Amino acid sequence: MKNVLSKVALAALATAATTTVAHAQSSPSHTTSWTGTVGEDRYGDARFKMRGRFQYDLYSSDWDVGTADDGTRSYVRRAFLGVQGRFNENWRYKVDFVLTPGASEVNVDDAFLEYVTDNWSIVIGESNVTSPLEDRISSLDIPFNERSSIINAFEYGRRAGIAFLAGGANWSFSAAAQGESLNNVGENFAVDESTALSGRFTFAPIFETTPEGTTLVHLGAHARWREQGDNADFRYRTRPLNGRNTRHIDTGVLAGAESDATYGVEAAVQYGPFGAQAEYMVLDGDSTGGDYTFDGYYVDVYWSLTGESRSYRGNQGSFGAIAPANPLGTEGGWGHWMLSGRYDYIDLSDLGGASRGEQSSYAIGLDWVPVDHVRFKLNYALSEMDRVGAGVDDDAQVVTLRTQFDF
Amino acid sequence: MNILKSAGAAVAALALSVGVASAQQPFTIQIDGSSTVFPISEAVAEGFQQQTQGRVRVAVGESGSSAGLRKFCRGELHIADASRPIRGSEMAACRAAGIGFVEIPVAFDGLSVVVHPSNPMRSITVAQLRQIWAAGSNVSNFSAVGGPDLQMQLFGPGSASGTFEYFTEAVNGTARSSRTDYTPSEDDNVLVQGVANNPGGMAYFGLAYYHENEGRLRALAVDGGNGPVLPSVETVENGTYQPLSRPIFIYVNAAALRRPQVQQFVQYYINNAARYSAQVGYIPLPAAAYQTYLQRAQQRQQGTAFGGRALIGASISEVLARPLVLEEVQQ
Repeated sequence: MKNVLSKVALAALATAATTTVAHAQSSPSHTTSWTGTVGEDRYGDARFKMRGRFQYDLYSSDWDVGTADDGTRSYVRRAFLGVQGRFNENWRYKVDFVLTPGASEVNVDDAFLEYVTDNWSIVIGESNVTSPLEDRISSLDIPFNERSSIINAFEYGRRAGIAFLAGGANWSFSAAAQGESLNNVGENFAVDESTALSGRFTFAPIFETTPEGTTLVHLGAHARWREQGDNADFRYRTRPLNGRNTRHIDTGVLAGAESDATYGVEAAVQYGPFGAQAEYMVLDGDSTGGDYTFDGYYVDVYWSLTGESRSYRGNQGSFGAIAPANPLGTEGGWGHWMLSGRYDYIDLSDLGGASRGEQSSYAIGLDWVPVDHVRFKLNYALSEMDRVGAGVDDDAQVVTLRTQFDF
Repeated sequence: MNILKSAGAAVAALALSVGVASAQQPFTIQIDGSSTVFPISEAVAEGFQQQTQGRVRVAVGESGSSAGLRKFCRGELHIADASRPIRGSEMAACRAAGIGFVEIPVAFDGLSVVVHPSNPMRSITVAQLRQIWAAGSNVSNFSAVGGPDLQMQLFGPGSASGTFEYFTEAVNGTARSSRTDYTPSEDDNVLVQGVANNPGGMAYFGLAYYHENEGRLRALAVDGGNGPVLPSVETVENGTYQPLSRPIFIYVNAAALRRPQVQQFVQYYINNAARYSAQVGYIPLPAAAYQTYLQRAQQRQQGTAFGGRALIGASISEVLARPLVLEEVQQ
């Protein structure tokens, strides 16, 4: 399936490119709209604009036992350049190329063609439209620098395939049939080597926005089933809440693990400047070594010191960027400041090698958005890693300063 | 771990100082949108601030109906001024952001077509207006539309304007379809100046701006098929000035109406709309209409009576009779 879907997606993207060129040649009447941060080219109903993001991390880590990771380092966490647009009201596209310095390959992040109607849409290509809440929030807008352990260890992210989406003012539904990620060239795109079926539903019984803020109660549930065929090599592991460092808690490759199923629930609330968000997930799988169950959760609390609410999108069941009410440089403007706290837990001790175990992490964060699209995030995380197997326990503290901008 | 401790201390200090700095400012009702509605909203805001002795501040902008509704549906405004009904796409944007709206027509306007007082033309048909303003038109002399041999200089509202939308739909048949080689401005005073200072000048804008500058401009009688009619309070009220008579609106954030300051302000607006709209040159709605809208505000009844699209040539009673809907009505 992977193969077919990927080819459909690529063919669609190629068609998209040719169509744009044809328009450019035949028409003199392009106009530019400047309502966003970058100019959007308009030609009749067609739209086209560039997009991009850059995230640069400076971090210092201190481990109790495994001190090999100790030190202060910096690196580019993400560098994307992409395009987004539409050919008419119904046909839209978005492609973000991952151009992180030091990486040996060019990858894609979102890369899809979308057919949109008033009430539903179909997405063909690389996307994560059925992912749980935290994975659905852009890396630009997540409150902490890195997503929670469950999102990372249970391998949420983008895959290539076809998805159906529907949504209303305060609910969303999505379902997808996908293969591997377009970036995973290792299996030579064998169709029977990786399949995923997934879906998500969200509902906001309370959702109101005024200039004074948003009042929100968000609830959601999702499920995913994965099948790996002959290439059974599921492995679940997690880092101490940082984009780098050793994954100390690690099941190792689970022999004969052909399929797994993940179920999750999510909740978020917002009351003016105060917010909270939590997700719980459980994963069941089977391998030659026996069945296994892993689970985990995180709980976040937020306080916007400058009063802004996180912006919620009812028809997608996710959060977007916070634009400062008073940007730096305007009268009395401090930009947007937010304090965050997180407790993150994952239990990967049910099956695996010497490094299996559980990890508890505590994190606090301070965010500064001086003007829209520029953000500094300072995170401190303390992680306690308890291995169940023969491996040693460890603690790690990491301070990370992220500098990011997007357009 | 010294670095961690100092980082923690810095965070705490920063958090405290920001928290203190952003302590409560006086409550301000944020209004922005149509420059046509602006004179009424501004007059109402002034009256209200006097009445409440400055306890509530009201900030009124005039960035155009489209820009105003865009901000409104991002949750940046309590009230959007609009000289056209909310569009289906804007209703969708509001819905996705958790914003419900209460639609209040506040007055009627006779969109006026004006020329320089020295121009001998007295009237114009809708067909002639279309000849001039249609997309791709190259009419550049009044002689092409039955006027004198006089080079035209066209002025008009920018594309973010509700007046632009209403006029293009009423005259050219398609909203936002217009020739583009004219001097645009969202500021109606710039348009007034343009025509007042150019013998070949022509522009269109709300009746209030014509009334305010009657000595420097001439309004053309518009012939919509039943003979030429000049824009005036009477001809708009009795429905003979067609098709350029139109209702103008405020859109109020429904949840914000629970705030006493906003509820009070909107009630004051409706109770005094007749007085202020007449004062600035628009046409008040019948008293019964304002009663209905007052209830609508008190009960926070959401939705639009226009189904997400323009309604050309509607009379006051037609507007009143229409039911409210929350989603775009397909035709």
